[in-house]
Amino acid sequence: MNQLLNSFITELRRGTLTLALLSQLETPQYGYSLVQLLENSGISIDQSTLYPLLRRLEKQGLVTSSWNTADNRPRKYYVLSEYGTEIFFHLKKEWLKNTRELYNLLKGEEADELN
Amino acid sequence: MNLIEVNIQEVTRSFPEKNREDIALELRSTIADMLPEHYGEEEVKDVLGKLGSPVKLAANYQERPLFLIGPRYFDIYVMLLKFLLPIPVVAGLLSVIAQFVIGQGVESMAFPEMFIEGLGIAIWRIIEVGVHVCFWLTLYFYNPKKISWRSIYRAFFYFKGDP
Repeated sequence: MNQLLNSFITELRRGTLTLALLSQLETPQYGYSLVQLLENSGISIDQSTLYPLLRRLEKQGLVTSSWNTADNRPRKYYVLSEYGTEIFFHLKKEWLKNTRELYNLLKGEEADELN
Repeated sequence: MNLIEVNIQEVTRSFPEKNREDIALELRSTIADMLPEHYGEEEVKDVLGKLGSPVKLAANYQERPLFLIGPRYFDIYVMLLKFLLPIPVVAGLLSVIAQFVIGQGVESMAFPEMFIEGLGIAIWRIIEVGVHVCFWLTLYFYNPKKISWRSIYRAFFYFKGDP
């Protein structure tokens, strides 16, 4: 049962990863700073997914990247592009709408259980 | 230190030239970020473990799934295989029967010998044709969109980059 449950949880989280990532990219971030930001918010992320995902988002034009050599080591910074900001806005709206609907659905079930 | 380079090499090995260096540079900087100020081999192993398997990382970068036939085509693949596999059985049996009816090279044999010999040839032929069916069908489904003479060529003679 545990394995099945885990696969359901993974599936639930998969779609939210992009949204979580976009939400943190309003200010420029580099790879590992993103991992830390997300982990501090309790979102654990598979790093072998994160870095390729960043690159994909760049290819799709949602984020732009630049190498910063001012730090003590060169780091690649990512930040939302104008297009990315727009996409993030709509995704966020969609997510809030979905969670509200689902919350009502789940709350209704809970009330039924209590009766 | 060397362990890090080996890992990065392993990830970026199969990438096209133009973004290999960039990804390697980013990985190197990320690994350095994850390591504490003073570190030994233990810490390096720990960090590389957190980064995940190089094979998985490379596959994620290339957006190339780790399976031969994707979930989209698997059902059709199995259906076609079930549909096509009886053909070699029938064809194999028919060819052996035909051979014996025409009777080339078997006149001198007595009945039981002939029967055993025929059975052997039939089984062999069924396996042979069956393997062909499985192989060519799998090769076709391996990438039905991009199947071309070049991709067939590359499936046989693996080249890094373009030939």
